[in-house]
Amino acid sequence: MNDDMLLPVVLLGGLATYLIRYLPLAVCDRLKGRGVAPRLHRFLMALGPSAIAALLVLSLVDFLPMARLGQSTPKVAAALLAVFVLHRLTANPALATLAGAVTYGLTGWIGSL
Amino acid sequence: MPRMVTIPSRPLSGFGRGLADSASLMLGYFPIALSFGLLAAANGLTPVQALLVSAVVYAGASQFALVSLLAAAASPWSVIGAVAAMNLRHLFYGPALLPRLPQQGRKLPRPLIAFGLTDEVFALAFARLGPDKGEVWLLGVQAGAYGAWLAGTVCGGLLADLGGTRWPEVQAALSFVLPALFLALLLPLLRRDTLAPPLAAAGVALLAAAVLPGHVALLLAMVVGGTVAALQQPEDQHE
Repeated sequence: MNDDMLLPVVLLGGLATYLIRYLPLAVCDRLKGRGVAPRLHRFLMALGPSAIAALLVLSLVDFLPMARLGQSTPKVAAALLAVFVLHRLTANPALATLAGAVTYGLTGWIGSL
Repeated sequence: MPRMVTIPSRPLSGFGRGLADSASLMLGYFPIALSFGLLAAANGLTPVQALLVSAVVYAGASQFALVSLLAAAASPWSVIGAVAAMNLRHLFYGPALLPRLPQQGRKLPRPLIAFGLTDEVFALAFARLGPDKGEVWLLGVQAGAYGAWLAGTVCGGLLADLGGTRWPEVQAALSFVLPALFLALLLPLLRRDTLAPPLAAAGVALLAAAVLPGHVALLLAMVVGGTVAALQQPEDQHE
């Protein structure tokens, strides 16, 4: 790897990423007092749940390869069930997350015995 | 005569509470950053250079792409273009979070809040921002996630120097932290009247992921979810 190129690429890549995060935030913050059209408001308010749902699906795709669907599905299902149950019992996302991760690790370990 | 009721502030209502609430993010970020540190070392970066990438770019998938493309001798502008394109989905995060930031409480400079708006920080903040969790809380969440990202990168670089010791069971458990976190964040947001946008987004993400890169599928899914919500008849206007 060319070390001379690394620093400018990293700095410009970081700047691009930062501006993508900052500029829309700054523009919308300036326009905040002017009111937002109801449709645009509904669009923005739905982005969060939509992003989380899509991130969930995309993060699960790697855990469920078509070639090993039979082996992977029970592990993933058990882990997701653990998240659901802990969420219902505690309403604490951190605990529910931990339960899902531990269940996934444990079912994999038990399966390998 | 009605009595004035003073609601006492919680002991950890600001930065510290945010830091504590970022525990699940830290758990998810650390192993991914560790993998990044290992990959960077495998591509010839020193631990300090890997840390520089994580500290400045701070965007998971695009960091992996940056290092891999540089190692493959891609042109600098194509690398920067790829990084920017992969992060275009972040365009919506700030505008979507703004309405959820409480009007009361301390305001922070927008340039400061913008830096840490990653996918997972956005997801956690969107799900949990409220009257008792304001901008300082958000900064705490961001600091926890950023700290874990940097620490994981450093540890990955050091681990590579030690020969890349591995613990498969722990790695497997840690690898599932992010899907578990996304489900834990999604569950409280699901209500019968707001189910259509996330369902549409999930469906689009699933279909699009088969033919498109993940970051494009995510952007498309968000736009479709938002559009479904925009086109929906508001509850109080139903006949």
